[in-house]
Amino acid sequence: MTTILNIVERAYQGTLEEQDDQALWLIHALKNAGAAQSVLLRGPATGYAVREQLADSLEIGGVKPGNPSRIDQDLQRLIEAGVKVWAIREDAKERGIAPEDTLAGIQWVDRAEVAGLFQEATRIFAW
Amino acid sequence: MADNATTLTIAIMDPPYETARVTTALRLIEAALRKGINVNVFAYEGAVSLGFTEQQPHANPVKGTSVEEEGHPTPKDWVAALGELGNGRDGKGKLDWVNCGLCVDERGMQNQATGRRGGPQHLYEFLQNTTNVLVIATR
Amino acid sequence: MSQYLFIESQDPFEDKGAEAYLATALELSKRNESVTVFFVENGAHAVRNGAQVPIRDALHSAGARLKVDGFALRERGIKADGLAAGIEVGGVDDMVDLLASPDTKAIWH
Repeated sequence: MTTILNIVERAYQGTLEEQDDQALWLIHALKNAGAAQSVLLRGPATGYAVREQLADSLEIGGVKPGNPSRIDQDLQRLIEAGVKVWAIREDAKERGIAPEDTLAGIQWVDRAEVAGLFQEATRIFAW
Repeated sequence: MADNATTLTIAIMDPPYETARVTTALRLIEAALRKGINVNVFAYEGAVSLGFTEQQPHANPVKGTSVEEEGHPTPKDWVAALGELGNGRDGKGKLDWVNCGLCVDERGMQNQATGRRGGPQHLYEFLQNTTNVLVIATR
Repeated sequence: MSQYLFIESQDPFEDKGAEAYLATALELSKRNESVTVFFVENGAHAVRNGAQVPIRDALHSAGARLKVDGFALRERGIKADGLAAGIEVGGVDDMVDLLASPDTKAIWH
């Protein structure tokens, strides 16, 4: 069975729409279609693991998004849908992200373990 | 390698003019088609503007040259040329270019030089019937 | 047997992600995996002989194949006779040949 490792690195793309992050949205859509996938958060995207992210204060010229993005909830839904979500421990630590502030379902790996994830996957998509 | 049994799927996300990724992606697509390799393209987010037919070439006021003197194509011309190249004839590969419909709508880019409207389901179908996949995400 | 194609498009002096991906390529090389690193676009800034990119040299020492897109070289005025040890000049045809194998795991960064 083809298994896809999605490495999500780029993060916070402007919050213009609810589907921000676009990669996570597409990964969820592909999961719903039947694709076997996992996610590895690296670099700035380790910030996605933090609980209680809010972008609901966005308002420009009196115009507010009806459904602002909730990245932590999107990630939680992905985990609940059965997608394994890893994140790189050192990348979070150097950004001052405390483990106790993150989603319980995240599986933390060291940078040295990433090569093993590459070996286990059939395909690797770097977002 | 003109076996017509090999298919590559390339997902792209960038609009033209901002990054070199667009140029490299179009070069890769052409190289594959010329080798007889079929190519699926999933144009996601800003990449749906690559084939937008209302693009217009412009003069260069810095050099003082006219549109005709400049003679540079816009990205839609390259996309259209790839559509023509990828007709599957003369040993060339076939091009199946899908533009993400939601991305098209939010950008108002319904008029496209080539390809068809689709969504994640089409990307999923591409992934089920492909030799390999290259995701060229934006950065 | 799998082979890995890392297409590196980012300037390694500016983008920490480039070093992270190349570090994974190096680790895979050390695990005796077949690894090709293809420098394209601003990734080509890594291949000049005088460019200080220790991980590039480590990849060469570990047996990874290092290639650079000839278009990216010419676009930046980088001469083919001024490349670091182990760098081969190639192009999109070479990338497509690698992608045409179902055993290639392709990663664009």
